[in-house]
Amino acid sequence: MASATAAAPGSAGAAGSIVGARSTSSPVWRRLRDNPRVVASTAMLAVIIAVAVFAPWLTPQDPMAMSTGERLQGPSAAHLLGTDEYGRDLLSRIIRGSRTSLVVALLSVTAATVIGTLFGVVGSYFGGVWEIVTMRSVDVLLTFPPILLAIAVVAFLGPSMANLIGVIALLYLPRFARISYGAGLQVKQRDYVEAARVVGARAPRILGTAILPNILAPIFVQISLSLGFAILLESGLSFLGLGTPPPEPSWGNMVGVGRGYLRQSGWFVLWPSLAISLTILCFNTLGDGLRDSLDPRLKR
Amino acid sequence: MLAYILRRLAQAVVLVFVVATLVAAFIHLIPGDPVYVILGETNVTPERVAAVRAELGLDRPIPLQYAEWLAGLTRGDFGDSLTSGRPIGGDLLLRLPRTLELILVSTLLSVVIGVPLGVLAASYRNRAPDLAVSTFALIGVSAPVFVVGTLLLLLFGVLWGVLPATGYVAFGDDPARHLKHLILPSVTLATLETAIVLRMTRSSMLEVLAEDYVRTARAKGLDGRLVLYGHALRNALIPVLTIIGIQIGSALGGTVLVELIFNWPGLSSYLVTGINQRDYPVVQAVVLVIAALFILLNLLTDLVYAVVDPRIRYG
Amino acid sequence: MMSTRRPDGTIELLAGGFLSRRGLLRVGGGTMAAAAGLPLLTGEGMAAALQGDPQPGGDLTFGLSADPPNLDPHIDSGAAASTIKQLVYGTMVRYWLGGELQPNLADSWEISDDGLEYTFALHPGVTFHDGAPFTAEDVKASIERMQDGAVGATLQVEMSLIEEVVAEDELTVRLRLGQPNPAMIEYLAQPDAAIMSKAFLDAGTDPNTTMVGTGPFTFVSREPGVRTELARNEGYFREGLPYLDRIIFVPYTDENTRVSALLGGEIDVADYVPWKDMQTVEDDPNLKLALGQEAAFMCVIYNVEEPPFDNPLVRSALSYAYDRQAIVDAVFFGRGSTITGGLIPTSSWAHNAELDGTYPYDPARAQELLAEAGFADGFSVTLLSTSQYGMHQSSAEIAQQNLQAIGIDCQLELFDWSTVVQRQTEGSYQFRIHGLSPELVDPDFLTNFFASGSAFSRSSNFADEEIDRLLAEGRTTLDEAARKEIYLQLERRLLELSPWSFLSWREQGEGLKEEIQGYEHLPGSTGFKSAVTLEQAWRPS
Repeated sequence: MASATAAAPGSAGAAGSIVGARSTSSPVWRRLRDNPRVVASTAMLAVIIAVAVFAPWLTPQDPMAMSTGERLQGPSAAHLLGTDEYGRDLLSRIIRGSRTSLVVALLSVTAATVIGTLFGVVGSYFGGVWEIVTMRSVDVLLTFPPILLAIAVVAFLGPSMANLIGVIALLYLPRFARISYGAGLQVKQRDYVEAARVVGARAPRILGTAILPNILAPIFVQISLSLGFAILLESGLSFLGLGTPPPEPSWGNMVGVGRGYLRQSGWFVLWPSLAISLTILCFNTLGDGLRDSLDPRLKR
Repeated sequence: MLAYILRRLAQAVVLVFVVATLVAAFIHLIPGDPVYVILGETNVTPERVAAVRAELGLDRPIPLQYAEWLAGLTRGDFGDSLTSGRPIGGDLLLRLPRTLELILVSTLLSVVIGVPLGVLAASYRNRAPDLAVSTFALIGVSAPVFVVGTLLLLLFGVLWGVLPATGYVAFGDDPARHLKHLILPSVTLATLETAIVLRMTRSSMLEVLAEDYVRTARAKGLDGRLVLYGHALRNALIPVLTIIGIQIGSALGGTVLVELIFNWPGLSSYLVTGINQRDYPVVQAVVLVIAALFILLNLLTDLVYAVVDPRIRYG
Repeated sequence: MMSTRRPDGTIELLAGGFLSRRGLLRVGGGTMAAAAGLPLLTGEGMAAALQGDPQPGGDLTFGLSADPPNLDPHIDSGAAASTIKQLVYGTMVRYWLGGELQPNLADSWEISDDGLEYTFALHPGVTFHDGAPFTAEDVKASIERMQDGAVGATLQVEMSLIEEVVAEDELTVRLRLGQPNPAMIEYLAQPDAAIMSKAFLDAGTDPNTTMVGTGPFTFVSREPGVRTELARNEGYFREGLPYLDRIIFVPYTDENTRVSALLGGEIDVADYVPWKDMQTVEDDPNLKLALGQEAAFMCVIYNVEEPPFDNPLVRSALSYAYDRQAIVDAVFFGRGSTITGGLIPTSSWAHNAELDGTYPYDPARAQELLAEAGFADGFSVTLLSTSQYGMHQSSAEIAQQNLQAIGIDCQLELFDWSTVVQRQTEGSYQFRIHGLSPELVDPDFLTNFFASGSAFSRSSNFADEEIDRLLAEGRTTLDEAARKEIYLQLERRLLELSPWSFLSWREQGEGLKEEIQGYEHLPGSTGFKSAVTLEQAWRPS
């Protein structure tokens, strides 16, 4: 839990500086393209996403088929990565689990981004009552112990993937709201926003055309970082029994269960841990690269 | 400045009240009943449930129960636990310092290790030291905390037996053993924090190093190291401070996994037990304390900014 | 073994009681030589004797699987809490080595021929931890407290079978039952039937915050969630006992952490060793495992008002569908046994061997029966279980897989334990997985589970007149052969109706340091009462 809710790396620092970028997309793309780490992690992410999309055709065995006689085995010809506590094929479950983990991460971060950004932008642009309604509710959310929120939602609504996505979205919403709020305040003062207002543009139009595009940079950085942490959070919640309900595999619940069998078979916890770490690594590298590329002052 | 602090404090009180009320509503709304926890599962009869409920005062309207609890708060009384019957205030006093200690030690570790490594990485940008440090940091932010904790526990506590695997010894009982027990959980907690502080320091240093005044200072021929540590670090520290503030804040409610893995009897495990047993006043009290600390911490972070960066003024 | 507690063998039972008593008095002599005789009682003979004479002194740290939610001895709050209560409080009779009943606060008792009157001779010279003498008045006050509905005592129903408690004199107490009950002595041996001090109760002290009993250890302090400390009772009536100076209980709710603490040497004893780690503990040269068979069982409980489980044929079909061996293998790492017949354990005189094999793992048969019941295409159901306890969730996962294999769309509902308890108590579920222990050695334990009106029957809406009749008959019949016949009919009827599907027995074990002597795991369901043997536990200094 600490891991997942903790970080907003770059939020405060990046927010201030990146807003100034306002550069045309081509130099950004060039910088991204020239960064070997970004290229490598993008390629890796493409592979991971492809695995998730085509999971049903890629699993060598039925990821749900139990065979208790073969439980907790190491890698072998029959099971390339070994088996779990019910003798299910770990490779197949890792492949199948990529779906769950990515879907949970993508949907929850998308929801957090959309709602959070809306809160932040509305709060910063309109101020007054709007600011109180949006930003104070974000404060309340931030102050709420995440574990209580998770247990409460799961107990109240029952454990399911949809509820899990909701919980993670709620936990990540504040950081998007705060970033877009801060960035929105800065952009609001700019000449072009002022100009748009003078010529009588309506608020939604100003928000959509003048402000939103200009705060996208820090948000994109935050999205890539949050995706990684959402995967981590899913595993943390699974560890507490609040994650993806069985028998559906997710990397998170595999690590959560596998941790208990470290003494019997270290392989069990190794593979999903690697999958999680690798995916987060890619998202983080991408996030770092994005930040570097979007900030023209850092170019060499 | 004083007016600013007072205003923020007033806001804080309102915010804490809102959070506490929401939590009280929440915990009462979710399924599960402390009476069943107290009675156990065998031989639960409607009469017994009613009797215990009446004894604990749970048969009265929830708003009334909450109002009474709030009234108690003004006298400094957090109420009694429904399951153990003990005053909650006393248990909070026992447990809060343990969690704070864990957080402070791990934060200290993360600053002592993270900041210098971050500066190192920034000054050797894209060269070997940077790559090594950044890779370490990436792994640090990518590893699930409970995997790190379990591994450390197995290696140091069980396999090599150099450190106590789990548990807690009060400082007053045995200072040396107390510190030994502190090592594994705080290192586990610090792994992620160090990685985050390191990354923040690095990127923020890079930004500052690209600023005009640093270049000017360098052009004027000031010693490179002096520029790096004197001017740049000071300015680079602000976002690092934010991150540390956020870290401590989220750690307040986020040491759950570490406390669970190492059986550390802190505030988070108190909260989790409270939730699991539906011990309403315990949950309300712990959340109240966490929320209040969290908000105070934010205020403190903002004030520290002003000290570090004289350009920031609050009015 | 069972003969000592059969009511038709009153004299035998008394004799057995006196023998044990004498054996203990020998130990109570206090000299080392006498105490060495104790392991002989366990039948372990030389092996134990080789460990040398018991040495008094020393502390013991006991890692508990849960923090006791309360300290009230009359309210059962789980095995972990019971461990502490068993050491501080005493009962009239107790389970001892080999699962035998042994006189404790009562030296002996006589049961009238009609099985209605129990006269107990109390042990003289016993004092409570606060110094007050133990008398017949305390027994009376304790039993009356358990009968009081407002207290919420776990044994309220059982104690209410006692119509009258008479303190004949200081050390004689007479109980009068409304109808005979062969399990009465066993009820009095339950840790939940602890004898409390009348003075303590009259003073209105909260038994939830402090403990005053007659047991071998006294309550010192407690910080919930952190530790509970007990100290040697200097005035314990078994002279020379206990050996240990202090026992410190530390709750470790995470099973992996508990095992790590044991392996790392942080704690001396750990209860509920997870089955997956039993081998590790056995293989560790510094550790040993105290193990018992058939301690508890896993079962599926159907809400018989919820379609399609209102149809006995469907429940019976499902009883064929569970791969019980897979549960024993995967959940309990082979440390258990399947239950294909009745629930009365194999160690019991009442075990019905002829019913074994009634429900083998036979998915084809399950599908046949489902088709017969009109569900050839299966149906959709949700299985309630908890994510808080690994064995529940794992058993549920396997059951889900088994049901899906015969075309039943089974979803898992995994909640935290508090939610599960509420859902099951209110009957808002279709079927659920549960782990339970019989509690009694006598087959009358079935009453708790299947009598209409019992908590379990109420929450699953189960009631069957014939079962009620047989349970009552089994309870009031004193002849063992006749009882055996009754319980055969009863279990046959149970399997036919299948309100529950019995899955597997599991072993139960504590892990402890090799050097610790004298602690014994009691057999079968009495395994949960093993804590009493800590009074003779010692460690070399």
